[in-house]
Amino acid sequence: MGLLQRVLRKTKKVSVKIGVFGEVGAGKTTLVNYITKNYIGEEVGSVTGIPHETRRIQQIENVHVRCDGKELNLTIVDTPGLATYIDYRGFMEYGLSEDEAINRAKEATKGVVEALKEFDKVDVAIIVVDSTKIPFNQINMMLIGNLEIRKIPYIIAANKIDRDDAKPGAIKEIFNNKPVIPISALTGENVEKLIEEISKKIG
Amino acid sequence: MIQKSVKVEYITREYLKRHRLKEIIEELVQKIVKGSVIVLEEDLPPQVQTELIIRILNFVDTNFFGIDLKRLNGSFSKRKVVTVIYPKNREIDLNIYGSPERFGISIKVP
Repeated sequence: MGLLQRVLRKTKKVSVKIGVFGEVGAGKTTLVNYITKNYIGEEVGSVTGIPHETRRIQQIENVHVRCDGKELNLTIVDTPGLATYIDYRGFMEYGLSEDEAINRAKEATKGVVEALKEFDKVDVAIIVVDSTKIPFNQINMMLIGNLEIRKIPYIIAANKIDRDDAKPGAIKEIFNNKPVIPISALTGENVEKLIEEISKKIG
Repeated sequence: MIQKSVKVEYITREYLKRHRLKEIIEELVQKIVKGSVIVLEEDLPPQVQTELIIRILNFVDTNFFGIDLKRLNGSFSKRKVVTVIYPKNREIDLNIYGSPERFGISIKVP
């Protein structure tokens, strides 16, 4: 065991970089906002109904969390929503002009590429999925595959359980042997449990 | 640009084994950007999919939006798979059905 690890074990202070990944509109920024508002008193990202609102990686450092007898110093990385395609016309349905929509699509494309390159840089990942939809798709499978190959521990946060049409049970069934925690990033339900699970993952 | 036909290219497991991943990605990018629908007799490893998406997103513009990937069986446990990768643009609406052993692809081109 190295000196750093011995010191960390003695003080039970652990620094962890958490990547928050997922599809567009899954609620990643809402979750990050809930955590940071609770622990450092401020929200970090804007949330609107327009897809690809988060188009740059946002890194929030020094989020101190006491959990399970450990003091965690979290760096939370909120990543742009993952997508395999970006159709600028979709933004025009939200009232953006054609030029604005094209520009947003360009920024969103860069954001997706940034997010895809972020897998290697995190210690633990939260995969946020929308539990009102069927998230068993190529994006989430690719995401899980990438994390498993890199041996990066992850938790699937089945978000939006505050909604009547949420089906967290179906999400657990779909990802049967994967760690799934139903949460509501909006109301905060089970978010503490999610943090506890992260704490367990990092030993 | 209105496409009146769509080229579907089938890539076998043997072909994938014979070539380096870098070459496969390059080939897929070239074919997809030109409008081909690619049917792979195997799933691409996650890192390769990631690299392919990163490469493809460089070509996104007002006519080409990227790609869509469809996998025939929806289970982590099944080994036999067929993956279809196709350009997401104004023209193509694609569906795949059946099983990896016997499947069909429907493509609507308005």
